[in-house]
Amino acid sequence: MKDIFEMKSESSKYERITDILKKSRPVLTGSEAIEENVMERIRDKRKVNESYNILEHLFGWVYIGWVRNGLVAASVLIIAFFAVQQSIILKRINNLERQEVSTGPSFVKGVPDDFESVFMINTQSGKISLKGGKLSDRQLKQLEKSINDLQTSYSNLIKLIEDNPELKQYLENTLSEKNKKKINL
Amino acid sequence: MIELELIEECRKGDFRNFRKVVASASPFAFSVAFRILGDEDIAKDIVQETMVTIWRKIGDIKSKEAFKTWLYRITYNKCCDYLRKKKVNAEVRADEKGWKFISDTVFSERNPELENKEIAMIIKVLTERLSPRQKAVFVMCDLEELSHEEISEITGMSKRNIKANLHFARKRIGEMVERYI
Repeated sequence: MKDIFEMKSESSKYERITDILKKSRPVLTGSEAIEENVMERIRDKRKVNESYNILEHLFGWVYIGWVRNGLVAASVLIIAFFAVQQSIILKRINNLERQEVSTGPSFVKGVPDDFESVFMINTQSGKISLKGGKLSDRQLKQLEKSINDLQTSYSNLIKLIEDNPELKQYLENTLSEKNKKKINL
Repeated sequence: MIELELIEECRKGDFRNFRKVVASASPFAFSVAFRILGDEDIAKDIVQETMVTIWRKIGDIKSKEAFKTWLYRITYNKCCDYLRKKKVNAEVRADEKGWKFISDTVFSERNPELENKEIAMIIKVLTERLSPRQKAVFVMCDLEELSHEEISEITGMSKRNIKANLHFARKRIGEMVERYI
């Protein structure tokens, strides 16, 4: 009899406690903070997933880990090499575009004494472009040839004037008149 | 209430309203986690973990109607993982202060509305000698009032196993109630 009473009392206490706990539902406070944290974590995971998905898409067919990593590393190296090579090619193309294409006879017009002076005249007047580039052997040979031709013509002309005193007198008079006019101006 | 239309949207890959899903599903997950663990802060962490898992795997559920059971299953698994890692202290001493509070509450004439802190204390005292499975079955059956079928789906235990665990849980709590109150 006592046992039954005790059993009843025990079960009623148990029921009373569970009843109280059932009715007292835990209240979730700070739910907005939880929402914010969850959304932030999702954003972070999404970023990681995107890059992971690209790799998975490209190399997902390789099941051995180290082979897959090796392929990823090799592809990164190839892409880097390609990018460097492309930049070098572009740089060279840009340099070529900047270089002036000139032919020999066109850049010697003055009365040269020697090769160096002709070269200086032409570089100072911008007829020979030196920025970022060099004269080729072919251009140098053309330059030398035109200077020699010019020197030969000049010495022939001087000889012709020396041989003809009337012409010499005439030229001297003409030059002195020209000089006077310049002074008057 | 969890809006099943929102669940359906997310299931199809449209996560624009996922925040609303989090807002509506969190209290359910929190209630179970809090009652199993008896700790508000840890229960909140479990809720966050659960929601992230839901976001990752919501496409896997068969139908929107299965969402609530699935939500409980994820929460239950997270709680079990936590309890396994925590390694429950074998020597549990009777918490006199806790039993005094339970005694006062039981013999109080009015039906008290308990705060989270008080609920946590009662649950901790009552379930401290139960295994994680017994705790989960006791909480889901006697406090959350879920059917044995639902608990079976959530925990993956057979109905027989659930009955056995529930029997042991009730017996152990009953013995403690008898001894300390």
